[in-house]
Amino acid sequence: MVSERGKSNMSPVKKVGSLEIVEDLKFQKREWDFERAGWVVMAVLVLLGVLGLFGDGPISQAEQTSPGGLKISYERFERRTNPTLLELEFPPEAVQNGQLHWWINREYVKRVQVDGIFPDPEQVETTADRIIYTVNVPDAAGPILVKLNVSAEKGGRLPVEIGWLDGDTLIFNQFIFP
Amino acid sequence: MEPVLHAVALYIILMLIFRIAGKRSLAQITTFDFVLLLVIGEATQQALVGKDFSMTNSILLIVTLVGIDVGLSLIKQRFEKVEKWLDSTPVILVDNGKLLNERLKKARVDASDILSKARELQGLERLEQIKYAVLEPSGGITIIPKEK
Repeated sequence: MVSERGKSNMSPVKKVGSLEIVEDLKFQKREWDFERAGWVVMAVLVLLGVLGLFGDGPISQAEQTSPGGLKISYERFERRTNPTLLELEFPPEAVQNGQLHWWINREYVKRVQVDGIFPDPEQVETTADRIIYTVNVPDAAGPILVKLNVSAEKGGRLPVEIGWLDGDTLIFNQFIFP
Repeated sequence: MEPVLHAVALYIILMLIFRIAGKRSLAQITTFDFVLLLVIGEATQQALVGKDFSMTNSILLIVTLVGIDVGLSLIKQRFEKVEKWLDSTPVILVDNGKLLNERLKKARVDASDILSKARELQGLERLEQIKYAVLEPSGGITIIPKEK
């Protein structure tokens, strides 16, 4: 028993002059409108990309300074697996007995892959919620530069807490696009 | 789970982008269009494969993508509306030698494209020799010559 149901769901074949064709001008017009709307969305997306919404740009580049003089520059937005740099400058006051003890929250280190730390720490300690790096600073004449190269393994919000022991803390978020 | 999710997401996004770009964008008209498609292939591959070079990952991705294709083809068979939105419909661009200018403009096809196809497919010389020229869902142009 051949069912006719299947046939009625297929596109109706129209006849235009001598041509049998499945043309649907009403639909076609909507499709063209949809195309044009889509172009606007695409243009906005590209513009946002250039401006840095997805990393690397004015919207994304951020700097913070703590009251005690800790400066950090970082990217607010980044893309998954793309390397990103956290650049810190610790004030000379942060140095105690020729050493700088700076720390970062464990949650952040858990969620990213650390590609490199400059300078190489003398010592690394882990506590319940922090990773503490110790750097030798024999002559604390100016701000001490610390660079952290990381890449995020998963998308989402990354909370960052960074500072020096018994000193200032900077707290901010990074958002990682998938 | 990730390869499957990424494959599905990319399939949907690519389909959306190419539907927005229009029928002609897939027709591979110039050498540059061909190059562009290659580059798009490379960009997509990076996101899908990443650092995972296992055979399992590749097979999983391919099966997922082909699976979506098959699944959609079944849905298209059942629901005419879905077929229209996914595949688009043909549009008549030339009717008995007359260019339908409004449609040509919207479809971003010009007379030289049509004449070129007329020469290629039917060996026709002039517009008046064309009975119908149709822009197919694939982006190609088909020509029906006037009967002698």
